[in-house]
Amino acid sequence: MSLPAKPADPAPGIPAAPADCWNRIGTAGDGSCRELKQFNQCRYCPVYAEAGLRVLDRNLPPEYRREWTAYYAEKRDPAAAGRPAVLVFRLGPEWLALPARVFQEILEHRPVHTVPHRRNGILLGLVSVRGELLPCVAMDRLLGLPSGKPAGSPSLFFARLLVVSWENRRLVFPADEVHGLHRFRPDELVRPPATLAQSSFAFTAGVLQWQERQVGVLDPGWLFAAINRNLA
Amino acid sequence: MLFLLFQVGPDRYALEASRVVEVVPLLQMNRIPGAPRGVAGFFQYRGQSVPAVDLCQLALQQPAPERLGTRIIVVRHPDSQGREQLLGLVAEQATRLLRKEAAELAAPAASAGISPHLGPLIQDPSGVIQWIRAEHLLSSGVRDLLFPVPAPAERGLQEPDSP
Repeated sequence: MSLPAKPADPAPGIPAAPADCWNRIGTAGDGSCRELKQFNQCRYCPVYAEAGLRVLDRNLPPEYRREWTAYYAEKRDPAAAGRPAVLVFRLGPEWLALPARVFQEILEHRPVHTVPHRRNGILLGLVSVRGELLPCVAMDRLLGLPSGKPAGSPSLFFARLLVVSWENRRLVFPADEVHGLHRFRPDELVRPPATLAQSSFAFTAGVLQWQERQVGVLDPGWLFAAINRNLA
Repeated sequence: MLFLLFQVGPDRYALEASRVVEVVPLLQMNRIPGAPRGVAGFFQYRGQSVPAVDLCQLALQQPAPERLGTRIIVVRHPDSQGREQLLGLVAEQATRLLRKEAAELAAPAASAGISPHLGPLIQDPSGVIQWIRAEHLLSSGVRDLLFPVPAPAERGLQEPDSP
């Protein structure tokens, strides 16, 4: 989506903003705008806010009406709000999920700084998240998953870093793909067969059927206990 | 009081936010053949059919522009029995809220005598905003067309007349 080359005339009542004044006399420019005394930052200035609203002064993208019509035609399910939500992500060939409350942030791929003398184990290194260095953990190694990609898997483009927090421990782990939130009815969660000895099932609270796939829902308590033991 | 601001052409209007159920994007409408001017049709809203009135068509005799800022404001509107029904208002630039105390509102303009839906004027640095009382927006003819009174036999089945 791109802005029209010439923005439409500002609506009446909107102060006629000199086009991108913030780049010339504002915070991103030479800072000579006298309004800066009051607002300190361009982002707090009403002129900037009005310019932002003008982004909405565009023609509808194709399919916009059809897609939203389908969305709003659906009856809202009042029971859905109370259902537990998990975030579904992919590690190598496996689709897994953790409770949504564990997640703090989903980041684009960014460099992981390796830590000397910690080449074994599950620690991949440190990642800078908003000025804080957080340990980055190879969850697939912990779970004993094959690290290779499944056939025809998407590229790095879909890879994300997931910031999680559990009992005051914050850390980051990379996932090959993140689907998003999924709500399920408690009876949809099937206990894993007790005979399964595969280590990834050791942390699994249950298995969900999701889009013709099996999603292993991990138990955050067990998982973080294992991570803490491994990082100690 | 909290107001939702919107525009109809060049004019700015406000709705009391407590009457607004939701602001939704411009959806596809099922037109009603022969409907009075301003009735945009019905749209599907969370499992029910909700009628919509195009305020631009009403005020300016031309449909609201198909822009991203043009929205459907879903409000509660009483039908002839006084029950609240959902009504969609198609308006431009329905993107801002404004908080004003009741004491800050100007007395109703001269236009208030013309239409019951025009409330007091709201002043802000860039001019005046006309307060629209959503509950009086539809004339009784249009209201009964959009929210038909159930036929007596049908009503008898669903809800017995209260004494």
